[in-house]
Amino acid sequence: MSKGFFLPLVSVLLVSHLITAYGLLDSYVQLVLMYVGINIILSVSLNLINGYMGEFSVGHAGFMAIGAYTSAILTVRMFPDALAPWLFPIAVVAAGVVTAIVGALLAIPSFKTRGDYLAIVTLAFGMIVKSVLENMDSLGAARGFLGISKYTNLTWVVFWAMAAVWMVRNFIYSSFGRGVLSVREDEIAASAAGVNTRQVKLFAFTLSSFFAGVAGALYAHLLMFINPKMFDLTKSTEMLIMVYLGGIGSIGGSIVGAMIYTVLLELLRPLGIWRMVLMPIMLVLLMILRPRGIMGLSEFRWLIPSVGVSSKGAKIVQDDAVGD
Amino acid sequence: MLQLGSIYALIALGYTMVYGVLQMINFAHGDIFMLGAFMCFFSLTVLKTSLGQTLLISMFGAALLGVMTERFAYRPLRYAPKVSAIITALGVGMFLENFTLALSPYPKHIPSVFNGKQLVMGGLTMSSLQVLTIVLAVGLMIVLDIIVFKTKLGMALRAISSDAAIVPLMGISVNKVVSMTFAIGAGLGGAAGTLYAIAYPVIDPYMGVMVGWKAFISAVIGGIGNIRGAMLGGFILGFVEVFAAVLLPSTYRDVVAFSLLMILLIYRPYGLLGRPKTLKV
Amino acid sequence: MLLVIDNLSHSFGGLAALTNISIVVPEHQLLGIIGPNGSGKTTLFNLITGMYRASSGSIRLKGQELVGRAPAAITRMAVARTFQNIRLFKTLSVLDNVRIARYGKAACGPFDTLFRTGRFLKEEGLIIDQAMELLTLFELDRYVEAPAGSLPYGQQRQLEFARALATDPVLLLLDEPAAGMNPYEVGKLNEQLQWVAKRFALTIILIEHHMGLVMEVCQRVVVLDFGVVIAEGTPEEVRNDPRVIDVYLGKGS
Repeated sequence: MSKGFFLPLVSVLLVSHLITAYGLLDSYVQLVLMYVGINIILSVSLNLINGYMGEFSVGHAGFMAIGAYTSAILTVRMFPDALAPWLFPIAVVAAGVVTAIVGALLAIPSFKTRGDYLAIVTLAFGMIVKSVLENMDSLGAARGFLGISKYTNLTWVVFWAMAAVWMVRNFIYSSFGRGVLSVREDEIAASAAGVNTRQVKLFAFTLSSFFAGVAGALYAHLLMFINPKMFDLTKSTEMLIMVYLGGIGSIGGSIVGAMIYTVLLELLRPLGIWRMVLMPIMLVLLMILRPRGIMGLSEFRWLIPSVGVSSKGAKIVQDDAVGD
Repeated sequence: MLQLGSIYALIALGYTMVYGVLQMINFAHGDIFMLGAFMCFFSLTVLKTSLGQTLLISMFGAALLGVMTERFAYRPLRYAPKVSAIITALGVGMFLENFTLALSPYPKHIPSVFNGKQLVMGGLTMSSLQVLTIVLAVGLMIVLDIIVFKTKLGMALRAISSDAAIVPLMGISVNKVVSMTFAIGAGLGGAAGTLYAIAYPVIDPYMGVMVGWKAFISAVIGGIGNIRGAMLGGFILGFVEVFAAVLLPSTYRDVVAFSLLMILLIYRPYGLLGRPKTLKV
Repeated sequence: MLLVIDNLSHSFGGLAALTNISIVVPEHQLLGIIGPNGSGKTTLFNLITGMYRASSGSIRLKGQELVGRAPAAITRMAVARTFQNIRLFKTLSVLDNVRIARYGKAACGPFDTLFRTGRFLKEEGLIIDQAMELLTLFELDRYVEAPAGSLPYGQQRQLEFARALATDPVLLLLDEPAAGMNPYEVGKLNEQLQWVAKRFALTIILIEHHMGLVMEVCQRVVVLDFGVVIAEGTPEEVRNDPRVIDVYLGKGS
């Protein structure tokens, strides 16, 4: 692990552990922070497909649902009660892995189809997940899955959010990950440059869905109740908004987008239903004034890995501009 | 079956027309359809209009709304990255839904306009409402087909969808054509809203989401951007959904519809009537 | 023989683009392909690199069949190309353009990347060093961080050239590298082709309309017209071939 990330990780985890253990923060503030963290995982992972790969996935909530249900089945039905709190991390990872396998399957259509048509495949996927869950009586069907314990705490959320940011960043700034961007720029040129476009797409989808699954698991064990309706199109739309609000083509954008969206939604809560009228207006205005999102194309310096030091001593800095 | 299909087809036309001209998926179109249904409710209950007047009011209202969304939300983004326009469309859709919800928090019931008269035609039993829906929808589609393939506006429209950059050089105002496209597309959506509301008389602000997506799927099945394809896709989807409901529990209707779509897209990525873009190296 | 093209035909929906083409390219040769527009030159490149799948016939590289393989697989078999209308990853940096092409040679997998293992750091450092070396060779090192699309036209061509070389090719296909160049630049390209071919031990197939360049650089020239090979030989022979003169100057001249 690179030094640049290890120290902050440990210190932030320590702080969040102290907060959780000693209740240093108001529990409502903690809750909002956990929402922020989960949303960061979602937006960063979605950005991999929608920003870096240049596709338009609308099915991310479907992945989240798979993760949420998988982890809930594990902690509620499979693990012995006494051990469940200790096995929670395994449930989260398992949720991620199961979701990643489904994500890999969804990558297959992307080998042949691109653009709007791939968007519709992901849309259909999201709808199918929701409809199937609604028809599964053993999982509570439309009524939802009850009796999930609250295992998610700030420490876990912070840990996974940082893991997501770290890994997506490692991937994106590596020569392998640049392959994802080359597919977005020009798939024909990419294949001529020897990029195994299928492998790259498969990997991007798998990684992205893994973290969506993790986010789902954390979400389920925070809310203690899940139902299929939570993971409908509105949820996917919300994630899209976070990604585009912050600006595609930068991890920093996804973080900022998730933060602003989540906090703003909480701040506007007193407005009741009018909050949901105001939010879209602000979104449309933002898009008109800043079509590339808040961060635009720029990236936080601290997010750019420092390996790229060549023998010539030139530090390699990349800014990811995004084509239409 | 034909009734549902014709409603899908009407909405699908709005998606496909806008896509043809701007290469943009207008995600707010389903909500225009929803507002068409609400305008129908308003004009039937408050204005006490006849069915014909109601239809005209909701078509005109929806058309106006469509033009306004284009003018204020999409036009400033015409030359911005495509995704910004899509996100804006999602935002406009959310706004329309939630604004309606804020004004009308409870589902509304449409007063019945038809007494259950049954028509028997060659062994088929249909209610007069079904017949009316189908006839009206098909009539509107024929009018649209004539506009697109026989008039000057239609020619401009097809010219823009084949090469948008060159059209202004021919002395055609792109803005005017785009506005007209939105007006026609949204007008058809409004008509669909009215017909739907009369057929399924409980309406709520989120009704446009699912129906909108289904209509969008219809447009894709037919080959998005292709007007006759959208009509075909609408009828196919209506047909499949009704049959799925006969063979399986009705809750599986959506699963079947969407699975069908996925399979179709994997094997025929450009829809039934769409033409694949040839790979150019 | 490095490359053996045998009885290769390709048609687009019934329209024949290439008919029964047979070309043999020995190692370290610089072969020129000339012919009027639409004679099937670029189609031939697209067939060799797997962008199109040949309707019939075979293309063998060191005895291995290329027809039916994916473009990336063919690139890994050491065939690289450039495009007639430069295709760079425009918004990515100059370095990234070369780095991406270099990844195929790295000895670390996706999971090394995710966790930044020691192996990843070593390989990544190597990739960057090698990329920088290539960029220096092509005098692009001062642009490393610039988006590729922002480079002047000539440098974009050079970058595409460098990117192709980054895949460690044995066979390099260049599609009109002199297009849009002035005589001075063509002269420089001439020199460059010769030393690059030597230094990287390349076999080069060159599509070019610039006759001067073809005649000076290539050891052998193939002439295509309407998808058929109408002449083949040394530049001298081809230049004096009556069929070639017909094609270029019209019959009766």
